[in-house]
Amino acid sequence: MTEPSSEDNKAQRPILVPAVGLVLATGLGITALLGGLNEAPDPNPPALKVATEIDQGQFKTQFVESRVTTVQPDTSFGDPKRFLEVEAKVTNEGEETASAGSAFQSTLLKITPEIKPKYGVITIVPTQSGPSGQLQPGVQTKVLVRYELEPGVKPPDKVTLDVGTREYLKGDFTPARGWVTSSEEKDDKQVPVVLGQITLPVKPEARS
Amino acid sequence: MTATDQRRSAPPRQSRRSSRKGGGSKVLNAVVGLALAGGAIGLQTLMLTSEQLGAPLTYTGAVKDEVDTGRFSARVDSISSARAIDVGDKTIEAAKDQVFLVVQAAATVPKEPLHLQPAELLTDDGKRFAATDRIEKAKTLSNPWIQPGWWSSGLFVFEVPASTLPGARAVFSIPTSIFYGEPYMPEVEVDLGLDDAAAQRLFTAPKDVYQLGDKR
Amino acid sequence: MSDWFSPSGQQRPQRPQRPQPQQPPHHPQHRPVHPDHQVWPPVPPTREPAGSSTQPLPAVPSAGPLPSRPPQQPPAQPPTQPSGPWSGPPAEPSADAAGAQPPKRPRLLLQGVGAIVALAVAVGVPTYDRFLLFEGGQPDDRIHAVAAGQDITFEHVTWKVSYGTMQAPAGTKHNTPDKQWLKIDITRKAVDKDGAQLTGQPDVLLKDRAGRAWQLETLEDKAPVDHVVGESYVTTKVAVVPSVVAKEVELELRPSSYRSDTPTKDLMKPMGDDNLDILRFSR
Repeated sequence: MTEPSSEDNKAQRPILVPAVGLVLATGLGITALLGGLNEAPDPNPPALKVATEIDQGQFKTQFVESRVTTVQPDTSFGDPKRFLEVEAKVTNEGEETASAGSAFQSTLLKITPEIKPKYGVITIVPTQSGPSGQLQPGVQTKVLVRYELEPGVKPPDKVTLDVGTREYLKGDFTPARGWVTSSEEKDDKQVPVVLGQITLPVKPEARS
Repeated sequence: MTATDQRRSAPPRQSRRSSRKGGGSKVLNAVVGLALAGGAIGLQTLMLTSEQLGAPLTYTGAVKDEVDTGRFSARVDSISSARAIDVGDKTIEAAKDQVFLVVQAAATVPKEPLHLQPAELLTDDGKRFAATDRIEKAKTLSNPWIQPGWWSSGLFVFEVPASTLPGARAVFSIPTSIFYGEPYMPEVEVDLGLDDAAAQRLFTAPKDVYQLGDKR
Repeated sequence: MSDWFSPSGQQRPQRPQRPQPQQPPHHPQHRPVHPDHQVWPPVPPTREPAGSSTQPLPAVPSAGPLPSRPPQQPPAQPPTQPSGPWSGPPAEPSADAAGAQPPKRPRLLLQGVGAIVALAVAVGVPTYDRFLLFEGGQPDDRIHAVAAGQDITFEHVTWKVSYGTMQAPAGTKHNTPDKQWLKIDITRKAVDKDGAQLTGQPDVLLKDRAGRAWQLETLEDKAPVDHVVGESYVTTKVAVVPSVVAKEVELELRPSSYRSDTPTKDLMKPMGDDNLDILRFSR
């Protein structure tokens, strides 16, 4: 019943199989050369707008402005400190109180031009009675992120912040869970996901 | 069940008949099997997630109840609201559209002394507000050692918008060891008994200044 | 799934055995006869229509013949497998011989017991696992009792404790007669060079006979940063306890294994569980 057809097959196979193989291999090669099917990373993350709500997962954030400010010390000891200050309005979208100083600050991935304060970046929630560190759930809160400027250093005219995002992780087999700053693997390294960049003009300090 | 019935009726019958019976029971068995399998799958949906397994054991009560978890007991004595809190060296004002909810509470332990964690306010829609950090921890019930033999009293202060108050509960918990995660941590959840009217009163008619400084 | 079906299947094989004595006559008609099909995962019987091997179960009573019919063994085995330690398998065949009624009970019993065991395991194993986790975090302490007024030398340091009472200080809320303030002097003395390095603060607690514990606060610590061998240093601590147990509470002191000559870089290393010793000073 099938003898003739099987012979046909035999005749075709030597041509068909390598041909298909070759086409596939070429296609694969070209795809690989072009960087695979993955979306090529955008070298320039999207620009974010001032005073527009940015969805950072755990937070909904509006950047307000950036300025140079001088803070008097709490006590009579110590010198006043000069900061480059970024103001934002942050709403905690999570269910629990979050920390401005760790959770929110960790989403400001990079500041350009780079400022590396000696004592680290300080993020506070200003209140009438002094700084707080809490972002209560569902409450829009004013947040100040302060980068200390060395004495005599001229502040930049504008700064660009790389803004990241937060995601809620929970372990499948452990009770560990919580919000973390999203990261992705790039060149075998975990790097934070850049949601976008925001550029803020730096208002010079008001002379008083 | 069905199998038993068949067995009883089977002996006197011819093999042919029993075979037919067997066919019927096959269908029945399939149905029973499917039902059981379906039931098993259904039960899976009731399984606790890892999150729920790791969640604390919650003991609930109302205001003035002594809620005992075995490791510690807590009680809410009273609640009040204030526009501002006088902590002695300064007066702390609540933010715009918010109010301070002052929860006067007490706690004791049966055996091991411990500190309470800062309390949380659990709202009706599941949000958890930590006690405000604008009032130093040292001035709250988190400060003293909770020891056996007597109740230690103190307060927790929450800075909250009006929407959080109806149905709100105060949650008291104790720290877990730093070195290992302890399963089944206990917590006390006290329903503050705030209906809409009471919540409204707390928010619209707060005390101007709550004196905290004098207490020390 | 197959598990759910198998129990019912197990019952069927017994039916064919009733006609056991008539077996030979049956054989000729066998192919059409359904009882054989029902035997279990029903395929093998149909495959072997010829010969005497159609009926798997008659072989069971006499354990001997079984090996001689390898193809039929698999169908015969499943019932015996779950029964394990139970006397199920032997009971079944004998029951078959006797009549149909008895076998259902052991099986039901077996299933019931199986269900209970499975439930117990499902609930018990995670619970026990968590208990182990809990236990692991709380290793047992070694308690060294010290007679009243005596001292004890433990790992290069001599410790002594003296108990006293005091008035409630002004301004405390703990000033009611049901509470008693205690003032406790803890004296330490390094007996050798190693002892002088062991300058860490011990963990202390007051415990009553029921095991309830109270904290102490340091009132005064006369020990300098560097300890001298043979010098006695006194640390004064205070505590509040219920008056009823004021005369029975005993100090439990857990010496610290911190050494003042620990290189800074090693400070963060976990200390291991060498801190399990507790010195209990009797009243």
